[in-house]
Amino acid sequence: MDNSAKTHLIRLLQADVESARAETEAMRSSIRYRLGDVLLQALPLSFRSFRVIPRLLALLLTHRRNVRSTRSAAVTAEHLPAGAFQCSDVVFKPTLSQWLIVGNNSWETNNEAALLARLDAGPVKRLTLYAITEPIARRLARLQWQGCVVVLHVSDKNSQAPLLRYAQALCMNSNNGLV
Amino acid sequence: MKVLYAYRYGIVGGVSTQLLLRQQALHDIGWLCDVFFSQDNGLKSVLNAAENLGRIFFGADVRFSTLLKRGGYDHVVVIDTPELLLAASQPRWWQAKRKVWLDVHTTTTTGLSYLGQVNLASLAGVMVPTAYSAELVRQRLPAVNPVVMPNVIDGRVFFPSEHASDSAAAAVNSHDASRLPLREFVWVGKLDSHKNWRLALVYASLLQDLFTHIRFTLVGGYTAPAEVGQAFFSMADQLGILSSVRWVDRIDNTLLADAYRRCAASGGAMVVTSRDESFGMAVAEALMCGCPVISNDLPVFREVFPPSPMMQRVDIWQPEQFEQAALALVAGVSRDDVAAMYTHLTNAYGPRAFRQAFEQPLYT
Repeated sequence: MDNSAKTHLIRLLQADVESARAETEAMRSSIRYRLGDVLLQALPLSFRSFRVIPRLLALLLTHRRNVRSTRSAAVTAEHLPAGAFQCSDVVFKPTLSQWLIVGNNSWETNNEAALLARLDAGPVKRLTLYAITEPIARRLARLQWQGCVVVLHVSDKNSQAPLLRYAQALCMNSNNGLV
Repeated sequence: MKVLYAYRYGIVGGVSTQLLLRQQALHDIGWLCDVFFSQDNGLKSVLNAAENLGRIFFGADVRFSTLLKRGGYDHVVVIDTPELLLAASQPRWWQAKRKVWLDVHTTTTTGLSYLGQVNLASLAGVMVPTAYSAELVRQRLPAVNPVVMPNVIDGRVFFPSEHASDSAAAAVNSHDASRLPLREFVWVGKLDSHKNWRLALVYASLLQDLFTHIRFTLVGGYTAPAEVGQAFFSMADQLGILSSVRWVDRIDNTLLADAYRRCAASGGAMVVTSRDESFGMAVAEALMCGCPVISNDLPVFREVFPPSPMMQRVDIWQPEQFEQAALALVAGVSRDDVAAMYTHLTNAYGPRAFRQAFEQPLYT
């Protein structure tokens, strides 16, 4: 086995270890695992077993509260102003004070969830970004495939370096969104 | 005949897309076929955009029990969703009698664990997409003899490029950068451990070392949690492939077929790192488009895909094997190989083959 193959084998094994670690982590943080964990603490059955009841209730209530807050924070296409769909140019600028419709064709927003809802709801011709986050980054290539031109006005301090480098590479490699 | 397919996840791709293809295949012969998804994981907006919501229902809009009550279905086929199976198997006394089928598509140990709690007496039978899946079911339910119901491949969308030719491959292989500057590779799947996306990134770095100019497109992962997304970009950064990798979180089938054809024309391939599959729909679709595949050597692929230069089977834990397979692509595949694969797959897995297989157990 040459050095290149060895290097790649090491990378493969490291990737597999990381994959198993992430899967275990996801399972251990799931509500099913945590409920089961608390229930098992009630064994063997005795008067002390009753102590798990408040813990179970607390766990369930926290879980329910988290689910509700996630749902209420979510923005769906129905929540967006009608003008957002008439505009084919979308601008994401976190420093804005509110959602704006500028002119006939441009919709500017400071709300990331609203931006994502708009990007998922229908075609966008031009997307201008003043900041980039992971949920935005993962949508960029799709938007380009759909013919969208992505314009970056992102400074390093506003975004994580890998996300910005990825977005820059996408913009450099694409030909007005046509691949 | 009225048929209802029911599944938990309304995602773009995978089993969800397969159900829509089956629905179309049955509509084509005049059957009424509805599809129900408990959750909408991105599929509804795609169907809405295509104005193709027709007889497709989502749990947020209609209760499964209501659909069962109003639909008057002769057959209900539930895919890997125990709670829907339970609801479908217990009709009220005043409701029409219907046959309930379980269709098993999952292949993971965790995914198959629900089989232990299934009430077999309430079922008309068990369906599976391949003989490989049938064996997995038999290991858990020895009394059951599953019916193999082949998946449907959409030959109207996935077909080879008219311009594909031996000479096009030769142009790529001459490294004429002015004509075709880079090799394109594609990987399709959810960003989870089962599909092994991390290995895909490692192999993207290997391909970059091997061919220098590559574009490696990962398709899928729309529902991946934010931490997985972060891990994706951070790993691509560590491997030095950020400028070669492209993540398309979800995609229309027409654009996906275009991507496969571009891969084929560029002298690239589809890369498959899955630990297991029940059928290999994405692989079949890529092959239909004339796109060669470098794949983990899974038993089910030996069942579904005939031996061909288009299908390079490797042990994904042996990077040298993968490298050899990638280099073998330099020799290109002939038009005859592409045509033979297309003909085989359309005959074995076209709508007609599915309908024939589907009608048999239903009328028995």
